[in-house]
Amino acid sequence: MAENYYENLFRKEPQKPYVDLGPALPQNYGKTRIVLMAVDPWWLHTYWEVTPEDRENVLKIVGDGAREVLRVYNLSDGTHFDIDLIPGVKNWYINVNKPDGKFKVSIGFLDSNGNFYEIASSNEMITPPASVREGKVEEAVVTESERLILASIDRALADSSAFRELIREQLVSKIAQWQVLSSGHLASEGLAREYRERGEKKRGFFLEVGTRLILHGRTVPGASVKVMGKPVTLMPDGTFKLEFDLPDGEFVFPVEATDGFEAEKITIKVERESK
Amino acid sequence: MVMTPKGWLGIVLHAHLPFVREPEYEFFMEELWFYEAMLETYLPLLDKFTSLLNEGVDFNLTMSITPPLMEMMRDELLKQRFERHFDKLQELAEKEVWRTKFDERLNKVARMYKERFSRLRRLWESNGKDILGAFKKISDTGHLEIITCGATHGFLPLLQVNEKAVEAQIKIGVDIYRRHMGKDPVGIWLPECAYYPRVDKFLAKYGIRFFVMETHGVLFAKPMPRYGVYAPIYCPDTFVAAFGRDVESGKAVWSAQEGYPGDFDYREFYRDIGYDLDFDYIAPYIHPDGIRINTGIKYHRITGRVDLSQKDIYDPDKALEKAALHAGNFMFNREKQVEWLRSHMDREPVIVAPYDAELFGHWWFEGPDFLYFLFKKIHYDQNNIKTVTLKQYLNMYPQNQVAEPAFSSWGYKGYCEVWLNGTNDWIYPHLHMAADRMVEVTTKFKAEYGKKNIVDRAITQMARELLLAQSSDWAFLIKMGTAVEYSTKRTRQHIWNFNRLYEMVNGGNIDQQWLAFLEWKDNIFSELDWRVYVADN
Repeated sequence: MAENYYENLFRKEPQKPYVDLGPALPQNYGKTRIVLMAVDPWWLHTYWEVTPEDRENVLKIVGDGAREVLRVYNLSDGTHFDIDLIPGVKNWYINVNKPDGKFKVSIGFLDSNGNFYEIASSNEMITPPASVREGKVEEAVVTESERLILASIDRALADSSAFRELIREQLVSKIAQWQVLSSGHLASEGLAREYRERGEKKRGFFLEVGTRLILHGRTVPGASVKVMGKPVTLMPDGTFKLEFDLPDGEFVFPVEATDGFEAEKITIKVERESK
Repeated sequence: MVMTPKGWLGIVLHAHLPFVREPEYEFFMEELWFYEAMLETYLPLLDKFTSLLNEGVDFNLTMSITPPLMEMMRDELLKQRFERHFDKLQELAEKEVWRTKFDERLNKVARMYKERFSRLRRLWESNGKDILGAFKKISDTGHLEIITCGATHGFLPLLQVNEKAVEAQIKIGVDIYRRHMGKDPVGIWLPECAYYPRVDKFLAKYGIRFFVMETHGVLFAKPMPRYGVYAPIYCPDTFVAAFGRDVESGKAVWSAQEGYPGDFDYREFYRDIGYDLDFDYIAPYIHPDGIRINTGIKYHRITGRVDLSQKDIYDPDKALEKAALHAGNFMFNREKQVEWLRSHMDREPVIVAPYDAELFGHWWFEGPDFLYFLFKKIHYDQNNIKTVTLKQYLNMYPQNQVAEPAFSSWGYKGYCEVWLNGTNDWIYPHLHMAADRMVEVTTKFKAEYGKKNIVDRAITQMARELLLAQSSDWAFLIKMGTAVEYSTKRTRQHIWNFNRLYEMVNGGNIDQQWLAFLEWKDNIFSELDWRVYVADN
């Protein structure tokens, strides 16, 4: 009986059900806007839409050679930095590495003199904390007993992933005396949800893929090189290297070099497609 | 006088499914999520709660039943289809007893299924086919505190760019609870336990007194909570209580490696006769197109780290013994935990243990038995811990530290990454635009509210489509690579419907027939107060 039973196993392959992804959605809504969201304490996500009219209006004031950039404002310390935009891209993940930080982004043009012309600016967003909060501790008088309770949570987290180590490092450096650990990585350890998975067994197994493009080259030392129209600083030996984190899409990287007498141009086209 | 225990155990079950109802199709694969959860989780849990009540056991727990699930439980079409599914399964179980009669071990399992289904069928019939009403009756005894959730389980931190969308999730979640339960909810399960600072202002506005958070949501509060997660904290200004999840009790159940559900004697989820048996025999009980699917009848135990083909036959008695053993172990560990905590605290600690309800029964077949044994053992075998609903706890311990909870969720890595990454970030521009448009249209036409005219109906339908598109389930499933096509389609279809209705309402030419079709198809929330979206003056 049992033998017959096993013979029947997986005799017929399940067929692929009919695939219907539903109607296509608008690429644009005809409204200029930029929105900022927090992914976690270290990353922000922003998406935007700029109407051709709004872009033109700003371009009129901006001189030639201006670059389209995202300006990321750290409102907690008053600093900002710029990210060059790749044409056609409509959203970006921004690595800020700043838990409990307040941010805002603007999209606009940066001219060769460093003047920024804003097209639109986003909502403000506060990144989540990644550790026990510092400050105001006097309000929560932490006694020896309470410290022990918190440490017990630490013990409960005795085994864990690399992510935990990351948090531990941060914590140990910040509040070494408490040794309290984040459960951030433990948040269900992804397991809560894995149990819901259907069909295949995927316990603890996962795959995450990112793509980082390294564009590198070499020319005569002292020559001037432009990538996507933007000047690149050469190393003393004439080499250069740029890194890009790419979302899905097609990207063109024109590379131009000149020493004042001769010029060369090579264009690299890259396509990333996640399946 | 009731003796105060050394500590409290607050078990919280989160029962949720996205709204899946496809009236256009006779058979629809994703509707099975609901039928399976009914048969494997909701009815078995109801069965156990009923038994505990009849046996006079003082069991107490909190359970969220989300608005989409409440609506599905009360939907006539889904109830009919569930019965049809149930009929077939009982027929198959009957056949299985015959098919396996020469193999004693298999036959024992087959008989277990047959009897189990009959018992659940009687439970279903005796409660007037109204499972939600049955849970409500138990909640009326005070042993079970049913709480609400966001209207369609929207992931609030990612909707906050238009806070009307957040407020509507809360307000409509409260309204739907009130309609189905006949009383006001005192607690809420924030979808995915996702909290962002000050979202509690909407909870307070609609009378909610508490919610549950992932551990670090409370641990990283400002200022630091003096009792960690072993006492709730009050949000500043609103005094809504935030309960933090205990790590130890969570791991005991959740962890695939060390958790109870992985025990070798427990039933194996991935071996199902829908895949195993001869095609002609099983064909009437799988997908009408011949696609093999799970039937719910499974004969094997986890056995060990072996290939699916090497799994041993399941023994229901042995598995039940294990469930009792694990319940004892869980209780013992909580006792020890509470004893230790109590010696360092000036009040009794509360251990908050939240789980997805569907883990119990659907994934962990013996889960409802485990809970049953656990409540009985806690009641009869010791005095150190007592079970408590979160409402009961707050009534006993109304004084708590004020601290601002931290932005967090219970998803993988603890923040928003699961719902916002390269696979699903395309959803948000549409959700945000639709929320803005919803505010625009409701503000413009607010005088039409409640008139039941075509504009009122169209705006009501816009709200349904928006809410359905906002379900966190779609982004989650897309990220997990499960039901990707269906989740993509649902998101796109609802947004597309919404946008078309928006154009029609603004253009003053509403396609009546199409509107009626949408009302019939996406019929969640028959009454819906869309004034919540109207812009503040």
